[in-house]
Amino acid sequence: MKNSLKQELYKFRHQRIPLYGGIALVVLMLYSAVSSSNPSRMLIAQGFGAGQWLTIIMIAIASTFVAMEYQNRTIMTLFYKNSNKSAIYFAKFIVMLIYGALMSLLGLVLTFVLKAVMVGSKYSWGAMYGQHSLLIDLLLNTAGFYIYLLFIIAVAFLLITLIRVNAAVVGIGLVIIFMGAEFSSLVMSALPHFSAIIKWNPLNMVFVINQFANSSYEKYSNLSLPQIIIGNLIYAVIFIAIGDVLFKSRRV
Amino acid sequence: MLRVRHINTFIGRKKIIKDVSFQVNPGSIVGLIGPNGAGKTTIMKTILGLTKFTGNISVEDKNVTENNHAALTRVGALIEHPAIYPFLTGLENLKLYSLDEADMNNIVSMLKMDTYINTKSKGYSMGMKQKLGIAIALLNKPQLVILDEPMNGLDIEATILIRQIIKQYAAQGSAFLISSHVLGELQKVMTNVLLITEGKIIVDEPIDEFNRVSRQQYHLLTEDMPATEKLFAENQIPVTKSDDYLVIPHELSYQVQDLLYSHHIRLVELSPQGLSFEQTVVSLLQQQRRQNHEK
Repeated sequence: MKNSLKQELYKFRHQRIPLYGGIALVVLMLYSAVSSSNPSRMLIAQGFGAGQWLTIIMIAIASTFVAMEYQNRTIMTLFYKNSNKSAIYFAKFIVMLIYGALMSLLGLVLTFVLKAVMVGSKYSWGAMYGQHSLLIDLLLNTAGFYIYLLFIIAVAFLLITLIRVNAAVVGIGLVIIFMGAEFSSLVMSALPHFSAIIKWNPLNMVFVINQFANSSYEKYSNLSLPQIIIGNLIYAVIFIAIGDVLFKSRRV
Repeated sequence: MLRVRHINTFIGRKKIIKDVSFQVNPGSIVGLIGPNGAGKTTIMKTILGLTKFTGNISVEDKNVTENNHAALTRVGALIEHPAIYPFLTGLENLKLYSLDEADMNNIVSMLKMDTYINTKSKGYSMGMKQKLGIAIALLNKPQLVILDEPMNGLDIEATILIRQIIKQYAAQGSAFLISSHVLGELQKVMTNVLLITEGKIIVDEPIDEFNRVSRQQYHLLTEDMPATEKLFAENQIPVTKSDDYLVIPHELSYQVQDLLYSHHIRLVELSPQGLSFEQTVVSLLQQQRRQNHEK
């Protein structure tokens, strides 16, 4: 496992794609900032959309990081040099988690910079507003989307081992992120008798991004904060486990 | 070294490799020959623990299974295409697997890759990629090297170089299992022939033996052919005439030479005749197909 992790880190840091991911995050956050002439407190608390942009970026990067082994036909060498194929899979997952954490940090730093440039001292980081101060809201939102990153990376890994087509994985990922929550709410309101079960569907897990800082989102997800956190983690474990089995069993 | 016993490999429900057994000894260069779809690459993948199989595979008496590749620690391989990350330089690709930097640098020099080893491999030509793939297979002083079509994309100079390197490694004790469609190239290096068709091994023997069997006759030309014919008739040597030559059986070649020498008849030419290596392979494959058809 240690050797696999070393190899995967080596490969990842020698690629341009982590840099492009960072640049994409900067550009998209700037877009969020400038597209609103007067950024609201909520936009700042959400890190100028960092969570939303980051989940999209991570889907693309995570699936590419697995797909490249099939595209470059390096999967055979990786497999014959390792007895433990799971170690390769988990090493890749850990590298993505580390990258996700660094990107979250970049999102935080950029939020501070953009706030200073765009609104100056209009909203104080420490002033209480609603449930928390602006700083706490930002940190809680960051924690929320990091939990969701676990879920979304696991989904990306599962999909790429299943269909091996990068573009399709990104497409499905976008559908999950942008339409999942609305579709889930729609189904729950259409079938209220089954909402106790439907609320646990994987599309509903996206609400964790906002629910960390804002408990009013419970009325959309129908899940309490601990429930939605556990739901995300359990789904992540299930997807990782299925993805790992597929990864090991696919013929190379 | 490598021992393969009664392996059967399945892809889905189809049996691709059928009860195959063979052995590769240290220092030997085994040529795995067969038509497209015969199962050459599948055998190689099976040895590397990449497919489900029944039977037994061992390297240095350690078993290889689908989930235990400990025995493959000192096995290098190039299967189908070079396994190269385009965003890494050639040297970085090698570093990923290398355990000995001096050995790695030596391989780079030996393969004459010094001029481009520090540039990104995405810009490499097919031949350069192939050389890098071979370099990865030769890393860490392997006991066994498995090469699937190693001469693909190589120019004539690189082909000669690779041939020399294979011989050099074999002389130091590394064993090779090589498949190639270019039989002429294989013939120049291999010490043993494994001929496979429809998932079965039909020939497994040293190259000298293979050549000897395919060359059963000799053409003979002497300075005095009438005297030679008379001499053979007196000594009941069975000969036939072919143009200006006499054709003698392979097993009588030494006896004939002694006889001519004792009667002071000088040899002009004594050459083995028969099917070429390629012709022999094709003939064996056709023979096997006929047998399968009759069944």
